[in-house]
Amino acid sequence: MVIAILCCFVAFAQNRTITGKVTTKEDGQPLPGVSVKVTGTKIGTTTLADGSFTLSVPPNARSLEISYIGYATQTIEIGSGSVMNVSLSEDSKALSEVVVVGYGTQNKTLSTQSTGVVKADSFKNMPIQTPQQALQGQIAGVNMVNSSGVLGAEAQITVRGGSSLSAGGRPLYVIDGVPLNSSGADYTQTQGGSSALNPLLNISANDIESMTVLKDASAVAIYGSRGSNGVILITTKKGASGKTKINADFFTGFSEPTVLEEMMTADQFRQFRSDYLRANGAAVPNYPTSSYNWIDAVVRTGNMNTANLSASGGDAKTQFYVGGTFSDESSYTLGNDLERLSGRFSLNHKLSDKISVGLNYNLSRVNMNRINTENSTAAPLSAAYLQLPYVTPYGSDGKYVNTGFIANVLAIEATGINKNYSNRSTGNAFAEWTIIENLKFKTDWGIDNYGIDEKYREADITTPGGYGYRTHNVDNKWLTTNTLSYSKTLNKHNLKGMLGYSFETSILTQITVEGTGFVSDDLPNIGSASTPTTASEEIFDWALESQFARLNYDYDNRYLFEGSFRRDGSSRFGENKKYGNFYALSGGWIISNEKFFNKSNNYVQSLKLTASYGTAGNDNIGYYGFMGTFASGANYLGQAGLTPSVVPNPDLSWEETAQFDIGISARIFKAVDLQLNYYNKNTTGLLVNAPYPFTTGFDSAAKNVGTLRNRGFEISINSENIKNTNFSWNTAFNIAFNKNKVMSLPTNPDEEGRNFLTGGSSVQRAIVGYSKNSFYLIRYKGINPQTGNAEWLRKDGTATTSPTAADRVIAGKADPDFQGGITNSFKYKNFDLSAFFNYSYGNDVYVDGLTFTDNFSSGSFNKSPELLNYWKQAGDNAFAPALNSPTRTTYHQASTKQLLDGSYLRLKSLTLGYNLPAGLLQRTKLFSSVRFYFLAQNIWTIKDKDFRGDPEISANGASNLVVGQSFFALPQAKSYTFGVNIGF
Amino acid sequence: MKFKYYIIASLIALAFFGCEKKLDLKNQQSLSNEDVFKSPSTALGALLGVYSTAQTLDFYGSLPQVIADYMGNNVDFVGTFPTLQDLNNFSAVATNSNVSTLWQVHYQVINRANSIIANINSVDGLSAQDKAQYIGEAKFLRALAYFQLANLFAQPYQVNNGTNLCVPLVLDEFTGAITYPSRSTLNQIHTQIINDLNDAVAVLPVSYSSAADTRGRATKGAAYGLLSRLYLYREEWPKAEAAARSTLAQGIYNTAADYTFYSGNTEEDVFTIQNSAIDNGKTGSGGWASFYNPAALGGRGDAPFSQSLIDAYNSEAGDKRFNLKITGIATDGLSRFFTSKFPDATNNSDNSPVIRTTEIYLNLAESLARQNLTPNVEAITILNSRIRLRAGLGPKAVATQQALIDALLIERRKELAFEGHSRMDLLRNRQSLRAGNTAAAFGAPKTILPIPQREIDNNKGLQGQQNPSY
Repeated sequence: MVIAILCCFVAFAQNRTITGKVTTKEDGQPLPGVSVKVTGTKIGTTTLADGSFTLSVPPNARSLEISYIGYATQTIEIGSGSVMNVSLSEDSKALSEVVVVGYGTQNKTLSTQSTGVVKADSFKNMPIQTPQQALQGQIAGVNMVNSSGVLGAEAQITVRGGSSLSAGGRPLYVIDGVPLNSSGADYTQTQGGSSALNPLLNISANDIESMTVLKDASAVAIYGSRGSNGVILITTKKGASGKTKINADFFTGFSEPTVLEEMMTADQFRQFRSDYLRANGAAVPNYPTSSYNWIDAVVRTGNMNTANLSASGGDAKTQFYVGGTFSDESSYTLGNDLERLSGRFSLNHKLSDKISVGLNYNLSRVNMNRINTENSTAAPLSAAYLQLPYVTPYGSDGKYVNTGFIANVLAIEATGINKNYSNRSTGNAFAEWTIIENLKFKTDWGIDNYGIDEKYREADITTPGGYGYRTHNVDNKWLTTNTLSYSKTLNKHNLKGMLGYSFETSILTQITVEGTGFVSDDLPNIGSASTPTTASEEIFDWALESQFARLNYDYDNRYLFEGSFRRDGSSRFGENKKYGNFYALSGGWIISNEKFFNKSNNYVQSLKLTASYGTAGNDNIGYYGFMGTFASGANYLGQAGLTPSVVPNPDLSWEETAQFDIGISARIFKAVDLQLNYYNKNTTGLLVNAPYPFTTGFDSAAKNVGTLRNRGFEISINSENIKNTNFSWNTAFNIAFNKNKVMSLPTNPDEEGRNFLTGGSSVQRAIVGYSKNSFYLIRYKGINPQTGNAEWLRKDGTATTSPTAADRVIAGKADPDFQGGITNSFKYKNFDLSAFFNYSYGNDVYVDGLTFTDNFSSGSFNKSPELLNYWKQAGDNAFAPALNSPTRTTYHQASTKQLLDGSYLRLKSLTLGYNLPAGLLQRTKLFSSVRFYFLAQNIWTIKDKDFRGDPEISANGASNLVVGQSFFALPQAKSYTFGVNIGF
Repeated sequence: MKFKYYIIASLIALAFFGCEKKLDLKNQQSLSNEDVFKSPSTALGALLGVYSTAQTLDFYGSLPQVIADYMGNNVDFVGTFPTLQDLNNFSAVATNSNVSTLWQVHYQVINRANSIIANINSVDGLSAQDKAQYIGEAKFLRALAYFQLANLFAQPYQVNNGTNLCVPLVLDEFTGAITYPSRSTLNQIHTQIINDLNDAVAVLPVSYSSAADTRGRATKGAAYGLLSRLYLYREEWPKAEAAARSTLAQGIYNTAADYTFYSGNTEEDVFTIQNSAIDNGKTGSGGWASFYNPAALGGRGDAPFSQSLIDAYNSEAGDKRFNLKITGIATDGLSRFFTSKFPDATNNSDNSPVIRTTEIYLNLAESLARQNLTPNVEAITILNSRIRLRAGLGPKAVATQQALIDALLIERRKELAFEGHSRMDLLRNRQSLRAGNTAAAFGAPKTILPIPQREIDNNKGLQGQQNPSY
């Protein structure tokens, strides 16, 4: 009404015309589509393709407001002249104020959700293989542990402590609104490792603009039955209108292992073994006199190269982004290489004022040379450790020999094939229609087509006649998401609502052929095998249908409220529990927007309190676990057979996590952004493979029993310590404390009457009242200096040389007390330096490989030279028992001897960069920016002095129940890269 | 404008009415429990599933037999598995994972057999004769499972006349209600085995239409054969004799002329689990040929001949059974002897020997020898004309009953080596499993396996029933 009267009034006055041009401050390029309007009015226009504008302004107009998304808005006084040229500078702050949330974006200040964001800046140029690695140490409460140094290994990642036991523990990854297929274990062979490859291997970090981790219930409830492990929203790079930008990045570098085990030399082994056998009255065999250093033979200098090229731009109606990356990497381990080609295209177009359409499409291909890993004696490093040092890879004729059960890994690498090829296309197309003012309908259609082929072939030297297999696994998903959203502002009341429907389905097909008996090693394909031993096709499908809604309300940007709801129906759930309802409520109070709050004080400039409570679920419970079935495939005498496979459970359903969160966000001392959160998560209806006595014929049945609690506290600090024209110093610090406690489990008591659950580890278990990752072991005491016997502790604490299973106690836990990261970035003139450390404290690591390297009595594999420090006479403080001690055959058995303190602090990356001066660049008339840099990863680590190996390890990948265990998993690589970023 | 509201209304309607059918997806690799016992073909599938389970590594795919060899004196342990190394050293713990899986698979065989026994009579279209036969086959396999469990988890009959604790007895189909059975005594388990085998001989056929089925599925002869072994272990000599004679009376068994019969499905085979390149018990962890073959032939090279076995063969020159060997590099990188009874380490297609005619004759001869204070003539004939003659050894003169028994036991060792017999043959004769090793002595606690800790944890009926020293 006021505006209308104003308009009427100005219509009678004399207008005048102002012309001008809007350019970018950085490079002086014209900016089309910029809004130019008279401050406080609706009078305005937008700039043309050359950045120019012409505007008729009323005589009482005082200033023009020039705004454009991504640039800082400027208000310029209208002087007496009629020409006004304006240059706008990019405003990163303005961009950061928007946070990506489920099915939309929100203003950060007004959001009541607890989220964490990692932007491309922080992982750009990093030699990482998978997007998860970009999250390490960056967000409070997100614990990412690299599982091993194998290229493409799947990291262990938990958001606010793991919320599951037996069910899948991965967070939900959503890329531009498309939840990704991530049935990790179903795609690739483990090849001796404890987990399959990373299911996100094909997602190139170069295509990612940002990753948002949804942490609290208000953030994840909108993802319903899939939200409780946390949700990671990946936003890919998009175009922006303006001059077309071209960026080229290239880096090259090399890598080496952070740490290697030392093993006995051939002379040491022969001497030790002979002494051992003599001391026990056994005959000493005639050992070969040869020797070979297997470790040197399988470890090499790795190298990596990555080139990335992208172009983006557009105008007011159409924006595009197109980019591609090629990278290749050879690990420091013989035979392990990864090559990736990925491309991405994004297009947005406004058909009219009311309708816009868009498309995102990613294509990628990964070509890997895989290696066997960990618990495989054909794994290069495991075999190199265990191979008897007098065994040589070549015979007297110089040809490869079969070295026996501990494989000749040099021969395998030279003569075998172990390939993984994968293709993935993900994308979505959408249309958005503004039906009436404030009411929008959006329909979005997405796909995720992931195809993985593995080709494995052993030559005649490894398996007589040769052996090979080929797997072809395809997971094809499509989904549709339709939302109706409405927003309305009435005085100080701001209201936003959203209703949605989605349907999503995916079909996984697994095809395997396997064969033996080849006439020649030169015939690599299974079609040439005389005996096709396997021909298998299996298909698994699932579908999810959902309705969801969200309502946001705030009053005067001070009092915030949000409610969200989702109803999921899933093919995975039993008939009695087909549908699940999830919800969240949250509120916030922006104290600093209150009138009584003086924002100009020197201590606190902004202050917000939030609280939320709600629920989310986890549907990673398998495909058809509720149906009682007999499985096919148990054949006999050439006829097809059936065996019972699943105990029926029509009540099988999602796990449900209810979470309470309170948070404080503040900016203090005009330089420090502070975020504090406390949460309490209770997971009920835990999917537990409730152990059955084997006497039932089943090992377990899937049931929703058991409860788990995670409580924790998170602190994030971003501090602009020094900010001058020439020098700046920023610190980003985060720390998260989480305490995990199992509250109840199905009846399965240990000796103390506490129910427990194991998940494939004989040393780790979830125990009621304790961590879900408790190590349950006999305590190792040491070598008795008087007797030379190894001693352990009985449950009552007395020493014994013959402990039993009943002497096991809770000896540690795999989850840390706290973990996080700290980044210090410095800028001096054109130089930048940044150092990122991550750390973990209070977690134990069980190194299973030590039961082999410290195996005193076996003559079948090599040993650690530590064993040479065996007990010889009374008073010796020896590492190992006397040669003829009765404990010589039990010394290696699982105990706390293999349980090591896994706390560490690691300089994860160190970057030094130099930007060419702007003046110099202008003279080239070609480049808009050029930066050279050097980057080093994992170059410095503090760990416990007794830790043997790399403490950053959790070889079981995404497992919830087996964390912090390793069986010669490859250590992380130390890498050094040099690169350049060029902007045109 | 109204048009727009229609669209909005229909969009909302569309968004909130789903279709439940899209969520009704079925496992395409499995049949529902209800469908399995509805037709003769699926019922036969379920029966073959029991055999298929018996085929696996942890039942008759070699692991229990290899473990028995590792605990005995026929092989050396040169492998890499710490769990097997511990069994070889008599230093195993109750959490030994091999023991746990072995127990698990044996009870799978038992429960799957129970399921056949409980449900087969309800199958429409299956003849009464087939129904009875399927039950007989299931009972035979159940008896085999209990017999093998008894041998591994209980002290032999000779320790306390069968009053020691053995394993839990489960005879009913598992329908979802968990039971917590305690261990029965060895005598109780043996009685059940005898009952099952007696039921089986009444309904099992003498033979099937194909040689592979006749040797690879349960038959009258196989059930009598297993009975004769059990009675031998129980020192019930007349019954052992009668059962052995009953097997031979079926008319389809005879000792082979030479040692080329392995995996041959000849008259030498009484019950032999049938393997092929595409259907066998091998896992990544092993199989007959994997354990017993050197790496150059595709095996692991884990279980070469022990010096004791070499000495046994060398005690009489020219024993053809000593030719059933190959020389190869063992896991310890040294050259050793390996058996050639299971040559196919690439595909593991070698059959699993369970009962063969030579054993039946040895059972017969031994039971005869035991019953007669003077050397039994028929037993001597078996010893010399059947066993030693074929081995290229001259007749052995035996002056006393004990000499005859000893001679038969020596032949039994040399004849049946690597086929899963030697450990029980030592224990039932009150002998040490390995000379000079007190832990291996007859009756020593770790000559039998621990009840898996996992099982004690999960079954309150087993708490307090662990074998001593574990």
